[in-house]
This record gives sequence, C-alpha cells and structure tokens, in this order.
Amino acid sequence: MIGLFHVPWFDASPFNGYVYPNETILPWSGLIVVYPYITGLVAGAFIASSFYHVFGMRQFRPVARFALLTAFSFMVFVPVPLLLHLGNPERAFEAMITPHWSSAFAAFSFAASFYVIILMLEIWFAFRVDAVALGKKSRGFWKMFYGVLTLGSDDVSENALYYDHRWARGLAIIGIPSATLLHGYVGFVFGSLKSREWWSTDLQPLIFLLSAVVSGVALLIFLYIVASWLRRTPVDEACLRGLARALLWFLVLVVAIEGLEYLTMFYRSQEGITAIKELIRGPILVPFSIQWAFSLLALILLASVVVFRPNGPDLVPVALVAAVLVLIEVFAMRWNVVIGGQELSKTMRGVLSYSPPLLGRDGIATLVLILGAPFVFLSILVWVFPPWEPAPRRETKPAPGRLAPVLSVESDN
Amino acid sequence: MPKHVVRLLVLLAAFAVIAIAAKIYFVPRSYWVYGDYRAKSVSEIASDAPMYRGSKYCQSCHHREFSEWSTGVHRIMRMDGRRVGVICEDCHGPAGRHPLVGKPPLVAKDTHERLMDARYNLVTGKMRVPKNSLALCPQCHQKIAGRPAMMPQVVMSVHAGKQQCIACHNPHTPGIVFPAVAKEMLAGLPATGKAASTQCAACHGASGTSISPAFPNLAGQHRAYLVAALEDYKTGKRKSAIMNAVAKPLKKRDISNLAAYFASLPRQTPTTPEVTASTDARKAQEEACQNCHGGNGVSQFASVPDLAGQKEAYLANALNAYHTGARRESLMSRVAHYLTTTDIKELAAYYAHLSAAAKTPLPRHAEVRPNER
Amino acid sequence: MSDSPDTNPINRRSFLKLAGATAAVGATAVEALNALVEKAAASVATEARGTPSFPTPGYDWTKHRWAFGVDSNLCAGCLACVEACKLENGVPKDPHHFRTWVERYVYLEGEQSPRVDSEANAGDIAASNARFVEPYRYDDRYADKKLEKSFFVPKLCNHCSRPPCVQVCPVGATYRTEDGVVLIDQDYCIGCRYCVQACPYGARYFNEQLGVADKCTWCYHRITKGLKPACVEVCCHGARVFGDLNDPESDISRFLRDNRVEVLKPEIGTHPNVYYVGIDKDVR
Repeated sequence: MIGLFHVPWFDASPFNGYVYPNETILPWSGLIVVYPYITGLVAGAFIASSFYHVFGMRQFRPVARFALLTAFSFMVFVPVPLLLHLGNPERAFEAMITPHWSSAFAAFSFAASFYVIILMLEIWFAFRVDAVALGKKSRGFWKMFYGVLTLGSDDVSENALYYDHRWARGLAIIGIPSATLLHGYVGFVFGSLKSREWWSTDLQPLIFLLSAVVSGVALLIFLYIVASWLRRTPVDEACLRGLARALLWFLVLVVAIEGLEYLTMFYRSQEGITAIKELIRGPILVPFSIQWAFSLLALILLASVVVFRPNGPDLVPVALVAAVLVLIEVFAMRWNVVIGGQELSKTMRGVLSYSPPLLGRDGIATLVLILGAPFVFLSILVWVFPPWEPAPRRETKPAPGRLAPVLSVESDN
Repeated sequence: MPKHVVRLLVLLAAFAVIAIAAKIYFVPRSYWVYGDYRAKSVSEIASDAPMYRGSKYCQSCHHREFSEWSTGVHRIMRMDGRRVGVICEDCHGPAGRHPLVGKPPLVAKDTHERLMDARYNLVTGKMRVPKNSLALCPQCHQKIAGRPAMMPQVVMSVHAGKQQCIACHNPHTPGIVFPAVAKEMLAGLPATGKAASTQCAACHGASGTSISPAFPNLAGQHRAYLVAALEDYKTGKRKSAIMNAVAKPLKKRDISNLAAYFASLPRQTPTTPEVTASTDARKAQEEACQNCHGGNGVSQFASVPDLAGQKEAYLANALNAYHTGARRESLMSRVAHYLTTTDIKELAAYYAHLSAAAKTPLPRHAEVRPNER
Repeated sequence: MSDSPDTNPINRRSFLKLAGATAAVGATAVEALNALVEKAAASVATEARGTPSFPTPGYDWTKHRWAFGVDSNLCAGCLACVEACKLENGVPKDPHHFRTWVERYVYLEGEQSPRVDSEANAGDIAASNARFVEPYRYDDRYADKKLEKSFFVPKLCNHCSRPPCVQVCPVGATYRTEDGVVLIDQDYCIGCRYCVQACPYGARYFNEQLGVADKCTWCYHRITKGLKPACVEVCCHGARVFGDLNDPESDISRFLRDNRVEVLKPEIGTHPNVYYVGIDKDVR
C-alpha cells in the first residue's frame, strides 16, 4: 500500500527552458557548498600560519600557532558535510580500501587524511613543550590527558627541541604543498567535469586555491580580532596590518583571475552563453552580485589600509569589516560555483532554480550547524592549548637561513 | 633520537599496519577480478527476474485472445527490420509472475519499498484488464503534436466523445466492428450531443423539458423523429425563425448526437390529472391519432413523435400549422384538415395531460415510417 | 561485501596472519604489501576467469557487443517504454527519476528555437504523477498553434565506450562490462552522486530511498537471458532497436547498415553506443 501514497523525499527544482528530467533534482545540495568553503578556510589558515613557520615572517608570530589550531578545527569538520551528503555514509570507507584512481574523489580521502595527519603532527610538535609544562602543573584527569598527549615523554632538553624544530620545519614544508594541492584539487573536482559548462574551465583549481587562501586569511583576521576582544588584549598592529596586506594581494589575484575567466567566457560566447546569461540574471543573481560587490568593497577597504596606513583604533574595524566581507563573498562564490553550476542545465538550453530547504539533511539549519561547529571546537582547543604568544620584540630578527623558532620557551606558561 | 619521536614513529607504524590490515580484510573478494569493480555484481545484476515475459508467454493460457490478436493489426510484424506491433503487456502490464496467485517468494532486494511500489500490480499476481479504454488507447492514437503522420490517430473528443473505444473496436484486433458501428454511430453519441446542447437548453430546458408551453419537450422523444425534425429545420422544409437559424450550421453528426442526447433523457410525466376530451375529439383520437401515436400517446414508430405529456400550446400550434398548411406532412396534413378549432384545443389538452409512464408502452417497431407499412 | 568465504582461495584468517606478520616488518612494508594485495586479487581473478558460466549460465560476455538504435521518425510518444522501464526496474514513479524518458521537440511557426517538453514538466503533462493505471501522457497543448514540425526523441543511457560516469566513481561501483554495458553495483555505491554530475546526458539519477545512483542497464538481466530490454520489447512502433553488433544479421547491425546514424554530443568524446536516426540539430 505504500506505493499508493506519494512521499516527497526529494525536492525537485522548477525550471525554465529545456532540461533533462533527471536534472530537476540537484545532485549536490548546500552541503557541497559548505565542503569546499571549509576546505578553503583550512588551506587558507594553514598557509597564513606558514608565513611565520616556514617563511619566517616574524610579524605573523602572534597568530601563527592560533592559525594552526584554526586550520585543524576546521579540517576536523571537512568530512562532515561530505558524509552527511552520501547516500550510504557507512560505505564511505570503500573509497580508502578500493580507491578508483581515475576519480578525483578517490584521492580525497587519502589527501585529506594525509593532510590531517600532517596538521596533527605539526600541532603536536608546536605544542609539545606547552603540553609537557601543562601536564606538570595539573593533576588527576588532566595530568593523564597531557601525559597521553605527550606520549609519556617530558623530554624538553636541547637535543629534543632540536629534533622538534627539524620535524616541525619538515612538516610545514610538506604541509604547504599538501594544503595547496588539497584545495587546488577541490577545484579540479569541479573543473574536470566536461558535462557542466559552468564548471568546466582550466582555471577552476587556481580560482579555488586563491579564493581559499583569501577566505582563510580573512577568517584569521576575523578570529584574531574577536579573540583579542574576548581576551581583552590589544591587537598586534604589525601582525594585523601584515594579514590585511596579504589579504589584499591575494584578493587582487582572485578578482583578476575570476574577472579574466568571465571575460573569456563572454568573449568566446560558446554554445551555452545564452543560458549562462539567463543563469546570472536569474537564479544566482543575488549571490553573484554579493560575490562581486563584496570583493570590490573589500578591495577598496584593504587598499585604503595600505595607502592610508591607519593605526590601531582605525585599522581594527576596517580590517574586521573587510574580513567579514571576504568571508561572505567567498561563500557566495562557492554557492555560485556549486549550485549555479547545477542550475545551468547540461542541455545548455535551460536553467533551474534551486532553493535550499530550511530543515532536513540539506537544510539551511544543517549548514549553519556545520559552519558553527568548528568555532565551538576551536574555542575548546584554544582553552586546552593556549596558542597565544607575545608579539616579537622589534629588535630580534630571525636568524638568516634558519627556521624561525617555532616555540616560545620564554612564554608565560 | 629522543624518546617522544621514537614513540611517535611507533604509533604511526602501528596506525599504518592497522590501516593496511583493515584494507585487506574489507576488500570484497571479487574486486579487481575484471577491473576496478566487484565482479560478482555482474552476476547479481544479471540474475534479476524479468518482469515483461512477451506475448508467447501469454499464449499458453489465453489462446482465444492470442489468436484474435495474432491475426489483427496489433500483431507483431517485421517491418523493414524493425519489430512493430502491440504486445499483450503493453496494455495488460507486465506479466511478472502472473499466474502465481498470492504473494510470490520475496528475494532480499524485493523487500525494498521501491520494488513493492513499482511492482505493486505484479505482487498481487493478477492480470490487469484496463477498464477505461478511453484512457489507454489515446496513449498511441490521440492526435497530438509530435506524433508521426503514419500513426493512425484521431481527436478522441471528436471521434468518440466519452464513448469507450471498445464499443466499436475489439482491442485485441482493433479493426472496426461494423455491426457495432452501424448501431452505435448512427445512434449518435449522447455525451457529445450533451456538450453541444447548451444552445438548445435555452428554450427546451437543460433536462429537455421546455420552459415555455409553446416550445416542445424533447426529453425521451424518439431519436429518429428528432433527427428528421432538425434536418427539416436545417433544410427549411419545416419553418421556424428560431429553429431554422439554429439548425442551419448543424452537421449531420451534430444532429445525430443532439438527437441521441435528448432521446436518452427521461421523459417528464405531467403532474396534472388527465382531461377528458369531447366525443368528437375522442372519436378523432380513436380513429386517427392512436394508429400512429399509440393509445397512450407513446408512438410505436421511431419516426413518429410521442405526444404524451407534450406541451399543450405546442401541440395546438402544430395541429393548427398542419390544418392551415403552414406545416406539411402527407398523413398529418390530411388528418388535421378535418379537425375543428375545438378538436385541436381538446386534443392538445388531452395529450398534454396524458401520463405516458402510467401505461405500458407497446413494443417499438423497426424504423419504418407508418405510411410505408 | 556479501561474498561467501568459501569461494575465496585466500581466506580472511590467512590475510590476517599476513597482516600480523607485517606488523613486525613495520611501516616500510607498505609497498610490498600493496604488491601482495594485487597478487592475491590476481589469483582470485584467474580462478573466476576459469569459471565458464560467468556471469550467467549459458552466457559468455566476451561473445557479445550490445548496441542500441533509436529511430525518432517512428516514435509516437506513447511512453509505453517509460512505463515498462519503471515497472521492470523498480524506478521511482515520480516524473523526476528516469532510466529512459521521451522528449518532445515542437517547432512553432515564427519561433527561433524549439519548445522541448519532457515528463519532468509536470505542470504540462496530464496525470504526470499518476499511478500505473494512468500512465504518463503527453497532452496536446499546441492544438491551437501552428506547427512547423514536431517529433519525439527517446532518451536513455548511452553506454558510452568512454563513460565519464565510470571515470569519476571514487569506489569502482560503476563499470563497463566486456559486452559493452555500463552497470552500477548498487551494493557498493556510496551515494556521492559524482557520476550523476558527470553524465553529460542526464541519464543517471539518484535513488533517494536506496541512497545510490541508478541508471539504464539495457536490462542486463534480460539481455543475458536472450530477451530484449523492456523498452524495446514494448515499443509498438519499432522506434527502439537493440541487438548484438557481433551478429551481422541482428536488428542493430541492420539498423546501422540501413541508416545514417548520429550520436548525442559527439564533441565531448564519450563515444556513445546509442545511435539515433531522424533527430534534429537542437536535440541534445
């Protein structure tokens, strides 16, 4: 009797023009918008942390370890939207035991696991001394906790620290290409599909990578300002200015490359151009406008930071607003790519319009929860491992040709 | 190497070993036999039971239908290397495990709701006999945009109205069944007639019972008489300003349908008591009228109208018209010639108040006009 | 995952022993182990290849090369094929999940591009959500318009020789058989829908109830038993043709000899195996 009643367990999208009937249910929902967004934040935050850890830019020292924790806490939640989205999540492990290497997805589980391990190791080396110190101070459960974390070793001798430095540096050097590849590869997941006109571009990995860096740096600016405000400590001006400047240059690259991409698309005017115009005028008009308006607004704000060099009280709000604009803009861009790409029919003669449900697996509520979870996790992490380090003294400079000290032995713990 | 680094390496090695062991344990055995997939899934998919069994399968029990079908235009033919023809399961649905009554043994996959849903008709084990041919046949034969011209197709509403296709066509061998068509098609289609009758209803009432004493009731009137009347109005043989204008655009098919519709409606029984006519009028009725119009005002002849319960003024007008020669009909003109004004008045009143339903009508004869008998 | 251990020459215990042994060897043995795994798989392969009745009794998949033909000139848009497919294969009955469907192209006088209808256009199709007794039906909404031309085009999976859907499956749950049919292993599919995205023809859909991708199999369970796919079986008009390219007298071989055929979207290099006759430039 079940068959006599229609149970709507899917949402079909309305459409204009000619679309294949199976297309009316978008295969990838908002969850797959969140996935590259979070991955991007991870990659961006990690690269920001490596400004200090690898390239030895000492002005970024106050946020370096915090950036690592940020990257980690977001990375933990990268698989969540993916697993939630799977029809049979309990079979996800098959991608690891029988990876089908011609698929862009097959490598993901390995790349992501590898990257998580790298990230965990790097954090472990960065915080080992702190954990040892914290373990000595605490008792009971926490003593055991830190004991397990330090693998039962409280060795903070010169020799041990030397090893730590070498490992941390090596990991960071592996980490940068991993982070870059991880996100460039997310672009490849979309760009490699010849069935989707909106995705199928050689620039897709590059666009994803650059916008990832932009969003990660913006996240770091945002979190750093908010955290400083919560901790009632002043924001380190040199660090923030450095971050703002990095954000500006990466944003310039993003806008330029995306602009070129659209220019090429419209200039070539291939088969799907009519439908693409309809797509931009119709279903993705709002996110598309947000993407471009907010990018340009953020560009202007950040340029003013570089040109007018505002200090303390002026710099913080400008940077904060720019960071939030960029965070929203990148999310809109992800939406335009993931949802927009599917709203443009494979026939290139029709346009669908997807509206996300409020509740349910693909619902807006779920997306908000997934996006909020890393912040909660991060605050727990920050509580367990205080990452804050004092701003470097102006006169000290990193030793040339050597890795800047990852650890601050003289820090207040 | 410091203690913690050694321990870390051991931890990583242990992790790697566990991961590889898990991989070896969980990989399905038939994976990589033929390629990057589970070879066993091929035989799993191939082992599904077919649902559509083909017409040969039906033949073993349904001989009669099969032989009807295999000689008709719906049979399977080889045309230009293609197989053309309507198979049993096109209309009757997939046979599946059809003769099997009761629940068939379930295989693991069948427990899925999707299969129960999709094979709902199959699970019962009963053959589907389409009841509504008007919903089935148009699937191929309704004239719509896109259908190739060589496909025999009609606009159903015009071709048959609400009439079922199987009234004239045997679905197993759907050439036209001529005896059936002669009867049905000549009779007209009441449903189609009803759709066209809105104009008539203005005067003759929606139920065929007129709103004015001057307009005749049509409900239950003889179909052939109604056809003749409309045709006479159409040609102008019978004169009425309104009816000539109304009947002019009507086609033969429309007339037939309208007549069929009004003939199919129930006749109105007068609520007033019967009146007695004077001797003269009764004599005329007994000697002349009832020969054709029946003793109870219900005619035995299809082309002769029933008079019982007809509108009084209309009857009087009609007799007057025959009397004066404004309306001509060989028999009626002669009869009416001898009637007096009083006779006409009394006869009209008599028939108008006569209840046809009270008496059993005589059996109706074939369509022969009385003067041809 | 449901493989019975008795068909397996190397059982789980010995694998575990192997695994245990490698623990001693340590992390450096990863490469060696991978080689071992492949060796083990290869030995299974030899055994399975030796079985003559694979995949079904009396059927040798190396002896066939299936292909499909569609003559759009003959299609009357009766949708018997769509209904049959849904019943034969347990496809959800709503107008958004199809293994095969039929599109209608209508060129109206004075319009530049055709109007394309399909079953998904529920608002336009009478009884589109109806049950079995009231199947999908095209209406005649162009009755009062002047047509230049109009025709139906049946669509289904093209069983491409270079299938993009198989390329992108992360777990190998979809593959191309040796007789040229692209199948989905629904007991192994994780439901990521990457293949649904990758198919340029919209031939795949996601079955929400089972959480797996689904698509046309050319009724693999029928063709391996010598039957025709259900849609071909029920097609009254000869618009669908199916057969074995290895047999020169098969319907499809004749179809390809007698007609000049084309395929859909040839420019994207998928090498489809569904051949069309009588379609128009606007058919995608």
